[in-house]
Amino acid sequence: MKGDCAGLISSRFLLGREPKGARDKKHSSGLTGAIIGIGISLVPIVLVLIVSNGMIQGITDRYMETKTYHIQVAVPSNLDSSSGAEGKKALLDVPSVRNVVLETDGTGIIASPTTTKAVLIRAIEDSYFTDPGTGEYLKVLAGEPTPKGTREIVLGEALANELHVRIGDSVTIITPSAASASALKNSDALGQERFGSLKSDFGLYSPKLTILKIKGIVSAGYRNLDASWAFVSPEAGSRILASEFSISYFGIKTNNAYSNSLGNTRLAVEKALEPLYPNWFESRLVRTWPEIEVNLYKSFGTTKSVLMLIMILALIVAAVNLGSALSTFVAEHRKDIAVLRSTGAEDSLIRGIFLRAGLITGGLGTIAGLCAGLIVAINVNALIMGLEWVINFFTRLWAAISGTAFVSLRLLDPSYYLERIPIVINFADIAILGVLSVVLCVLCSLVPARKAIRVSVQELIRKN
Amino acid sequence: MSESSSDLLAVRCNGLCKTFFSEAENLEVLRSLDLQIRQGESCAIMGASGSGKSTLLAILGGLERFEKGEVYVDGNNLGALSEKDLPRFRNKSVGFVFQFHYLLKDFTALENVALPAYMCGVSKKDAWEKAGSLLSKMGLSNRADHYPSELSGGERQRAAIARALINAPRIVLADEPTGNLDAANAEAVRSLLFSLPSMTGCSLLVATHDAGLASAADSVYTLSSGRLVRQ
Amino acid sequence: MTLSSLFFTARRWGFSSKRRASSNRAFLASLGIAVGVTALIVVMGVMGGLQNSYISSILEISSFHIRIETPNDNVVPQGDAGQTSDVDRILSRVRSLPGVVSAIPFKECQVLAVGPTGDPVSLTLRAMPKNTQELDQELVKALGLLNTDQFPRPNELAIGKEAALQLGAMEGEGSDVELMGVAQTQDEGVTTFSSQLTVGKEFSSGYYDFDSGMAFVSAPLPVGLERAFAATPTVIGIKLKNRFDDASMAEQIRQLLPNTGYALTTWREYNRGFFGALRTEKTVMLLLISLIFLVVAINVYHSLRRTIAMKQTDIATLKAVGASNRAIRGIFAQEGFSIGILGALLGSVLGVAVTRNLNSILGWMSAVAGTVSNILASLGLTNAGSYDLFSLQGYYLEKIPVDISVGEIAFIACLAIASTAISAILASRRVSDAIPFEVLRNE
Repeated sequence: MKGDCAGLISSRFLLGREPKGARDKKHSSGLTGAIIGIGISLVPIVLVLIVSNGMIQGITDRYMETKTYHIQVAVPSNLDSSSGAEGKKALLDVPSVRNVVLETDGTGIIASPTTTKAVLIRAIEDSYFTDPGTGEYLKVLAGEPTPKGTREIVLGEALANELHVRIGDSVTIITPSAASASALKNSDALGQERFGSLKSDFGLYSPKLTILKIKGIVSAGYRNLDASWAFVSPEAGSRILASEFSISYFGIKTNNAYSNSLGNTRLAVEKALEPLYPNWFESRLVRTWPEIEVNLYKSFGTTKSVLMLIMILALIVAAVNLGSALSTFVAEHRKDIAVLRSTGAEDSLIRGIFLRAGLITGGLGTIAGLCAGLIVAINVNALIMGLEWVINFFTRLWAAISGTAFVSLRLLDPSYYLERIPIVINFADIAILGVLSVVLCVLCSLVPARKAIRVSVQELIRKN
Repeated sequence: MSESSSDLLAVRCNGLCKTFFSEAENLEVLRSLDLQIRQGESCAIMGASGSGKSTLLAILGGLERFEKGEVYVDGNNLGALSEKDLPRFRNKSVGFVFQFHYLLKDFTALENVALPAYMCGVSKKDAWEKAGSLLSKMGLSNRADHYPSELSGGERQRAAIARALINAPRIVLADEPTGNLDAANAEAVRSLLFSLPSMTGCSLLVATHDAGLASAADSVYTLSSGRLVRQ
Repeated sequence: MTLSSLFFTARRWGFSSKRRASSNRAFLASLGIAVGVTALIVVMGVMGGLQNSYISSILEISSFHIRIETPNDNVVPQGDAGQTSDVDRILSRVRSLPGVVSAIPFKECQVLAVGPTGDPVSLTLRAMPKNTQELDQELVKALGLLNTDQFPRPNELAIGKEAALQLGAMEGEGSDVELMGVAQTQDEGVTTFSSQLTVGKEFSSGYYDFDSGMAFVSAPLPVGLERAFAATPTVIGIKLKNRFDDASMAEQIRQLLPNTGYALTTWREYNRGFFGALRTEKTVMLLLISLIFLVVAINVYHSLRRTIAMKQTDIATLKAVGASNRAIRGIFAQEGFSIGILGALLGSVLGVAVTRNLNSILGWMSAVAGTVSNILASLGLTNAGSYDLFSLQGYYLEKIPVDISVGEIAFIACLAIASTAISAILASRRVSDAIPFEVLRNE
């Protein structure tokens, strides 16, 4: 009852139902400004939330689908193919596992006629390329993505650009391979001799030179990933990559990578492999994707936290503004409060009226801000393109006038960011933000509400 | 005094003292004032402006505190009521009519009248019904949905009186109720006010400097030098 | 109306009892501005610090102020040993230019290194003159080395801190690493080379890419490495007295070069993508945080409009005795200015104080957050485990660098003052509405 009464009085005060009086329009303007302020402050928060979620998810997805997989199981480099096949079969039987790829990675040097660069050589099975997850993010820019045989190689786009090579060109790969086993065994004795002075050409590790033809060029859409990739077939890999200098693993893709049940899948993987490889298998060889790129995710998390904290400052300022506007609102209604007091209104009613006023105004501002923020965020890619166009238009104009060279600006430089921001709306986050905003507004209404209570009835008795 | 005796008295005042303290001087407005008003009696208090009539009414209505004396209104010992209890007292026991109507500008006449009931526990339906019947008793049923700015001075004051009555108070306190009205409206308000005791059974205490208004009362007092003198 | 009478009036209006409430409101507005200014200063300071630490590393070590790529000459770098190749001639001419601090020739190639850990690490190997520490002291300093040491030392490999970790070859252990890579020569075509070197100095530039991916050897080269560099062009790295003079110095230097085959790049062009990205980020943050000013400005606007509406009588009176519209508007606009100035002042002081002590403040906040999360964990409300509010782990930083210029602070302060001043001016445009006669008559 009393709550409804407070609500009725509160909304009337806010709306100002008195039909006449331009003079009284000023009553609502203070609060309108505060409501707008809340709305404005929420827009960047929503924007940052959605954009950072989108970027993080976009980058994380790309890593997961094209590089780290969802679960990795490290295996010895000299795992023979039949053992490997057994392991694969056992893994595919695990529920939620949708694809298993045996991959061997090694570092090498890649050389074209003009340039030499470091390269990560990925000897990988076809099933990697045919996996739908990979296909979503790994785009084929030229040729075919799957290298076959021992003479074909597929390069990442950025790498191909830096090497200035195209489909059909040849490149040279240098990889370390151990000298013969006896040499290794004698390394201590020989090594002492050898390390004494400087050297003949083939020391402990003989570099292996392989010439390969470029069959395809691919791009993962994120330069950090494919700036140094090259794919070869498993057969090529076994020739190029020495087991001492490469790592091998099962790359597993699951259907539940983002859910909590990934932990169960991991346990199931361990259970499946343990009986197969009693000699070397340990559970610590199994890693899920959060464990594989820990630093990356930590830095994302920190960046997002810092950004959100900064943006929340604007919301706090807006809420305090609202409280201040409400104080003025209270002051404007001193007479009304005194009248209510004279007819018997209790403290709780008066407080309730103005707390509700804070709730209503804060709620309105919050809804407006969340909606505006969502609209901006959903269209952020178009907005960025539009902004780029405008900036480039003016710089082009300026360049023409001043005679300097025109340099086009890309706001989202693909070397450092994703080219397009994927829009990921986590409604739970938005809801929490909304609740936080309203709570802040109500908290800031406590002071004006207390001021209202202190308005005394005596104001009516003093003669005008 | 026994319970039953004080039931018959709407107001009982003994030795009431009220002083206004300020830096310049202390103004002793009421000095050891005595007053008794029976249930259903109408009283008028006259006196020069500044003599303390409003202050007396304010004290009786629980709007002002006092230093010394005993004040019982509707069986409530005003000296013993805390700040928290006063609103309830004002709501249930007293109906106040000011010189200025003090209707809330954002509410219709009907809503203004209903609010004191709605505020303190009466259901919305009942409060609105009561308000409607009170307004028709005041002759304002066709103006019930108008806002104060759309009502004439007399209509506003009548609505204020209806508001004072909504919770069936023991006593209606009216402080210069016709001060802002022209002659015709003042007459209408005067007859309305003084019909209240027979209409509702409440007591009426009017503070005024208008002798014509005061003459309608059962008892007339003059407030001078801080004391009441019966005429 | 004179300025002094204007201020007099403004102050008088400030002292009536009702004004205390609105002066509270004005103070709150100032606080809001101060919050915005502080936030901007801290954020711009941190971004600036991060950028500048990267930039200085890059400029000193990698891009120099001006780079000249010479055509591939199949010449093995000999340092300054008095050979009269084209490169040496260019070097002496460039060095004689006023405005040039240093010019050193170097060659780079890509190698694979294997050390005691047995993991191959790819490195960009650079061969520089053995007296680089004399020629280009800034480079040596940027690597975190004292410039009294000879750098690079002959027949030694200098690697970065991170690379040393990955190779298992730390400074002082005298470990050897094996280097291998591609060699392309005209006679032999594409072959491999391989060589061992002892690891000497370990450098730390603070920039992850360098500390993990660069290595230095001195020219004249150790045996076995000559072929590595045979096919790569010599690059001349030039440092200027004032790097912002790059455009004019580039012109002068271009005159000294033969017509074909030489490519000159200034640091701005070389790092365009990187600097562009940094600048965009800074601009975006500036825009987003400046919204705080907008929020406060809107409130200042509305509260001023209310004040003006309430003071119609006073305004009319002033006009009746001869004050102009402009003067009266000035009185109100002054409030906006005052709010902005007070807020900017407070915010600047606070902002500078926070940036100076940022690392300790963050450490304290992390400690508090950690304690809170421990308490929550012991109550069983959340999972235990170290909760890092701000984890520097992913950033390859030891502490957060802060760098903000007086110019930037001034810009932020002006932005703050402008926002409230503009809203005050806009609000005070209403003043002309009041017509003295009518208002006074209505009283």
